[in-house]
Amino acid sequence: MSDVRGAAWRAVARTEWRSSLRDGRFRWFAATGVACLLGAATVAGLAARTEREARAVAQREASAAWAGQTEKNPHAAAHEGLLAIRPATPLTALDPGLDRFTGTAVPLRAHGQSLAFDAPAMEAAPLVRLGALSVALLLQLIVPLGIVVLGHGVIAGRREDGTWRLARSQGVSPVALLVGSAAGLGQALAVVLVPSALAAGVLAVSVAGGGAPGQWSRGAMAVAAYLAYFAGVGAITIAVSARARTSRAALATLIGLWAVQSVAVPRLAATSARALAPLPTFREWWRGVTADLAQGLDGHAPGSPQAEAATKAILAEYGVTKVEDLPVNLDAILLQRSEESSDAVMARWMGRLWGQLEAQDGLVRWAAVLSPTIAVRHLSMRGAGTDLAHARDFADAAERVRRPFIRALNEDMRDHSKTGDWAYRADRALFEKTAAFAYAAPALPPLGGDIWFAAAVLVGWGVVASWWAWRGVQRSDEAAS
Amino acid sequence: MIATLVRTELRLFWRDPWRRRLAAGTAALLLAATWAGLAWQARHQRIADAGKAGEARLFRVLHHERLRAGPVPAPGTYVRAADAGWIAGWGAIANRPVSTVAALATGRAEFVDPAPRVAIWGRRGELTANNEELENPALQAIGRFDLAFAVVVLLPLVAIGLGHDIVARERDAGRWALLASTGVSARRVAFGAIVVRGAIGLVAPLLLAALGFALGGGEFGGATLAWFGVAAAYALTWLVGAALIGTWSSSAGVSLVRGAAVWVGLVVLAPAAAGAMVEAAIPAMTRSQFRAVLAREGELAAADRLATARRFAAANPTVMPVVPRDPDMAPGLYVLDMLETDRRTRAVVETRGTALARREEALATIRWAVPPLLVASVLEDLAGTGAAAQRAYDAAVDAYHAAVRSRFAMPILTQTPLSLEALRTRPRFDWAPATAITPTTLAALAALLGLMLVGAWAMPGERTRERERVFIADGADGR
Repeated sequence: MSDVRGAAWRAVARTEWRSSLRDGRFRWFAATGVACLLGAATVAGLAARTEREARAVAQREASAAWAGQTEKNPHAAAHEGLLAIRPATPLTALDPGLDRFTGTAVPLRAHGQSLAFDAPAMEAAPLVRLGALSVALLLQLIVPLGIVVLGHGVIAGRREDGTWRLARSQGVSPVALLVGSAAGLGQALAVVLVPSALAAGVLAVSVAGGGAPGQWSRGAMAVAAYLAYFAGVGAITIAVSARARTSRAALATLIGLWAVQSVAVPRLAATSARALAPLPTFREWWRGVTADLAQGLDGHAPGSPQAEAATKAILAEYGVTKVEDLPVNLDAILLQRSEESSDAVMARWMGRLWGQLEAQDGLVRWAAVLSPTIAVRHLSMRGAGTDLAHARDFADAAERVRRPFIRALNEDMRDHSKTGDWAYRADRALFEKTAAFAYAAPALPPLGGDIWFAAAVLVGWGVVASWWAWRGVQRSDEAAS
Repeated sequence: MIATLVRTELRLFWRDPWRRRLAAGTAALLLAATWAGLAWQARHQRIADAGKAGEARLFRVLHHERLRAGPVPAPGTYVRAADAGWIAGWGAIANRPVSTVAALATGRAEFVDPAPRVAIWGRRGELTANNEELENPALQAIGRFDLAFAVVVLLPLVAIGLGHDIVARERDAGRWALLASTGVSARRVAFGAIVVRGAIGLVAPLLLAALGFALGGGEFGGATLAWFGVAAAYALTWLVGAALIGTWSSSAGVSLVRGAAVWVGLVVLAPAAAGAMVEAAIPAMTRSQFRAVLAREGELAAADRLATARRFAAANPTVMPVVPRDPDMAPGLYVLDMLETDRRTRAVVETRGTALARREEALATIRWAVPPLLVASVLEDLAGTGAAAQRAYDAAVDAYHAAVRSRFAMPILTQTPLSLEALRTRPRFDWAPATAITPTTLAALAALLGLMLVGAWAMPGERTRERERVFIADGADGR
């Protein structure tokens, strides 16, 4: 019996596959889909390459500006700071994610960590902000529409043209019909989508310059996410097709669902996240930061109680009683101690801010329960290294460079000048020595709980939709019999 | 005849639960978008006001200190609160209030700081859009659910849902040939349906949104009326387009698929492709690259301070009779770095400014071929949050910056303390976005009406009726 069933679903799959190939819509979808994917890959690859080169040039310019300073007081130089530019990875051609919306430059300067600024989106044109042309845009938005269009009649169509009853009268079980239809549709879609999406991905990354750290493992993660997404969309399509009275009703329902889940829900989720977990305004946030900073040591306020206490401790450390007897520059030591004090304050406030950003992002991620597009988007951005976690990784990396950088400047001033000698100027060698900044994204994307949640939601969508399709088929079969 | 068609269509609309739900859902979405826009507008305005209030508070303190300090100190006396360098270095808040109708379209205002500080030291080109305001890039990338988004992106989908089967449904049901035989043209059938479906499914939700906007505190003036007029015209154009696609399709299903494909092409792919094309065709230095170049030139200018001082002294002997021996330590002389950096970077600033302006112009031209792009920009301009407002704001900031420099550069250079009067009459920044109806608004409205007329004209009329009769005679159904 099981052999018969096995043969039946294969026969149904073969029929579905052949009818797909004969379907003019399928050929149209295949031709335009492949053309759009390859076109978008080329355009996005070129844009990513340009952006990558521009940021590399910017970093060279910034480092040259720092290294090219003439003799200058190290602390005066530290006030201007060195500009750290976030490099663009070639994987932005696949999924630009937040790349255009996060700041590209962080000044490494004295008196605490700075926020990144210069997000490219600030200069984008209207509606272009809706989404840059990329492989991800097509895979997340357009391909599901294609699946819906091709698959809406897979069950409902059979019922309409009578082949369902015919097949049932031949002893083909509803399961075999369901599984065979799904397999046939999946095979037809896979033949077009998998090679063209892979080719588009490779093309985009190659045009963008290639060589991203861990690009294969990251690519594999994105491929797995998209396969699960397409499978889920396919399952939803079959489920709706199984339950709809006509194929047209199935199509209308599916296009409505597609529009709501991929276009409206993400924005509604973002709006809700803003309302449920509002960010402080910059001034509110900064007021809190400055209030905490004021509790600590200010390197520029030598008469303050904190500075007096620190001075006493420093004198004791050096075994002298008067500042004039110190063999080093007390101002520089106070500046460095004030850095350490502000580092702790800034780390706390920055951590709180990142926590608030991640909380909002987390609320949006919960909306993936209503919209699988949100889940795949999250996984795709993580794979491409263009999500919030990678933006934070860059900010943290810049801070890890900033602290020893500022320390080196303060130590130079400490060791080469005397207290009160603000006229001291370090020579160019110091600036040349400290001019380098390089950042590389982690080779493997961080696999935190958020990733497993998004993956579980995607799989959950597929499982629930499959179950729903199975129940739909059973019910309609009972009704028909 | 048309009245009968309208009555019939009204009955059909009322009996169809799917359409009723669609109209109600659209109204709910538009109201939610209105609420979200109003919330954003209130927050943006609060930030702008807080920035300005902070500045006013600071200067009130300065005035007080100045008064308490007694007479204006002699030149060369360092009084922190009245020091020109300090005042100009602190600058002013370039308050960027939102218009009273900004809630309708957040536009570019979402990406800029509502209250950036403009100081004398800022180099031209990096003054505006410092984006100090805290925003979540993860949410910005998804986009804001404002009324402009709902109108430009979602209403076309609703229009396709409502209009795709106006003619195609009759065909599917086999009534099309019957209708043709009664002497009713497709155009009349479509007209009746468009009037009813457009009024209930598109215009009524827009009116509800307008009511919500007014009740929520939004200003209801000419610009608002024009805004909703353009929005309604745009939605109805899509409805006519959807009906037209239906007349060219063999069934309602095909019509729906074609409508969705047109939506994808015009709303998603065309704007993205236009943006990519323009950015590739007109290269412009990125912001970070530009900032780095300015930093490098600033360093070079500082390194060359002595030569600059000599040049300045030669050109301004009354201001600087003698070049200081150690220009690095001469207070105020670093103003010259700023002027020298400006001189060095003028070409870069202008080249980049020109490239960005050319990009804007290119997109302004392309938008006439991509209706969603056109309507988005017109709606943003009417709300005072579009490219026009951005240009006006940038020009105001530039003018303010120039005024601050011309007023304070010399006192800083010569270390002349400022009088109370000088503090009182310091340059102020005052700007408000314009929300006037422009010729572009009217042209866009005319273009949409023109598209609607073309759509109506392209629908099958008398000739088609004859053709359908021939099909009936031949036993065909007109597919």
